[in-house]
Amino acid sequence: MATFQQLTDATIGVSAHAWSPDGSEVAFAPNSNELRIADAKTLETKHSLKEHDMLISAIDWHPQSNYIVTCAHDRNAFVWSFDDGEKKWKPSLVILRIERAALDCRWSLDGQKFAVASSAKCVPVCYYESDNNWWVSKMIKKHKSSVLSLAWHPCSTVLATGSSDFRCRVFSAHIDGVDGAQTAVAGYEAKPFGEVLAEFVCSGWVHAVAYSPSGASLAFAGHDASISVVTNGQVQTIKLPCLPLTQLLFLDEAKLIGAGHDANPALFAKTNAWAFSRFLDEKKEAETKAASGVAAKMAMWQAKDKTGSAQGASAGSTAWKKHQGPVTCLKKSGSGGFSTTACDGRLVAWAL
Amino acid sequence: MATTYKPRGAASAKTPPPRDAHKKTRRYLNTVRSTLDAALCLRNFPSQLVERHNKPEVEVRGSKELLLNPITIARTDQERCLIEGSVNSVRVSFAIKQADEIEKILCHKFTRFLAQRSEQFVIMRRKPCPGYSISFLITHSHLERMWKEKLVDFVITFMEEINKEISAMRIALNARARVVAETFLQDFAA
Repeated sequence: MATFQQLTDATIGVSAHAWSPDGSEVAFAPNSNELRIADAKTLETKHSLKEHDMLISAIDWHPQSNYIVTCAHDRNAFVWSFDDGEKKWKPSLVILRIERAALDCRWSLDGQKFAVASSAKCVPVCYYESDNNWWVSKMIKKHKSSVLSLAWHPCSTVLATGSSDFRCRVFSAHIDGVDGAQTAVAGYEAKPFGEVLAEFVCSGWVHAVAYSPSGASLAFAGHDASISVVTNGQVQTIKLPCLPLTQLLFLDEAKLIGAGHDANPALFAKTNAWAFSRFLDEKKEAETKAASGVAAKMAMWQAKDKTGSAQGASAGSTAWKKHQGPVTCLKKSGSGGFSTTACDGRLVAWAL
Repeated sequence: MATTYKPRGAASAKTPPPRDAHKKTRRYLNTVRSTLDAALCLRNFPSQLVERHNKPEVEVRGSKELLLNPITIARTDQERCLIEGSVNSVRVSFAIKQADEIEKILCHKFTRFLAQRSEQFVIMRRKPCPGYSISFLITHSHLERMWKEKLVDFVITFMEEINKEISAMRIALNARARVVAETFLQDFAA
């Protein structure tokens, strides 16, 4: 089951999206410096926020605090808070201290911190400093190339990153002033901030990482068209029957969704071990074609008009898919479903 | 008029092309198509070396880890295709078959003509890679604006057409040369 809405023109695309805590609003970036907050049903733009200078690469909306964090290729991140009096979103400055583009940002589960993946080969972990009224950052270094994605462990003190140096790493992101006394968590020994807790090798760029809701499993997707799931230190790698995945999301402990260049979300399920289950977008049975005569000619001309080829949406064509371009963002939406946006400007809501 | 002349001279002395040449070309282009389909998995990737830049990594070649191993698909020694991948761009270069001097000249003139108008072809590179006749540079922004399979279709159709065009031009040129020569020699015969 899936329904789609056209957020932008198909030639523009959507680079990121996020849902409001109650699911009534959706924030998205139409492949530009604009952050648009729209009504989820009517898609009417409620706020258009243009604080960034360059393409917004990621948006994350924290469900409890109602804060939005956005990061962009202009090396900046903003934390947006809603002013109930003025009915406006107010940006607040984040001291990121990175010299290159920011590629991904995520709130920790408790909403005290967020991390930003960047092309500067480092990950600033940001927290609020009430004395100065801004967000300051502490750097995780130790990457040899751009950091493409990140995921928080539900304990909020452990952070996983995927990088284009073919590694998925797990770091300690414990900040004393915010998290209090440190204890050993998630099967890792307690180490100071920025230390590597685990490192996994992939044979391609690691495009996506994800933690399961309990934090028991860590998954990462590589450009070699594989995903790996780490549970209790055991790595299981699955070769995909499709093009590489760029986004991962755990629905629960035994269900993993991946989306990417095939524009078709793939479901992975765990029984004894993890295995590919199915693609979620399925082709409908071919409509009965008019065999001959005027109707066939008519269909041919219509196909030519629509798609520029005489066969139209026939075998080999992807016109039946909900998405027509690579998926750029995969987020959980309310009631156990999830949503994707892609370069074709569509927002698709999926339900299993 | 030209068709009334029988082929003779150098052209007829050559061995005729093998009967399954057409099938082989098809197979070659299908291989290129499926390789392109896999290579065109690109993402928006701003430069990690220069601030606020976003350049095709396959051209800049700044970081080794962002480049993929280049793939060469060859039908014959002369007719081959080089696909160089990277994280945000792909460079596709074709070497067009050049059997003799005339084809060499025709191919050079024709590809030069096209390359000078590369803006109109959107993905064409203004200068081909060394050793190749024509190059395309496809970046993630092209994929954002256009359908991937249509883009691949365009590259394949373009290569089919260019081969046909050069063969047709060669035949036309030979025919014309024959007419010119015959007319010229008729003056001496009379």
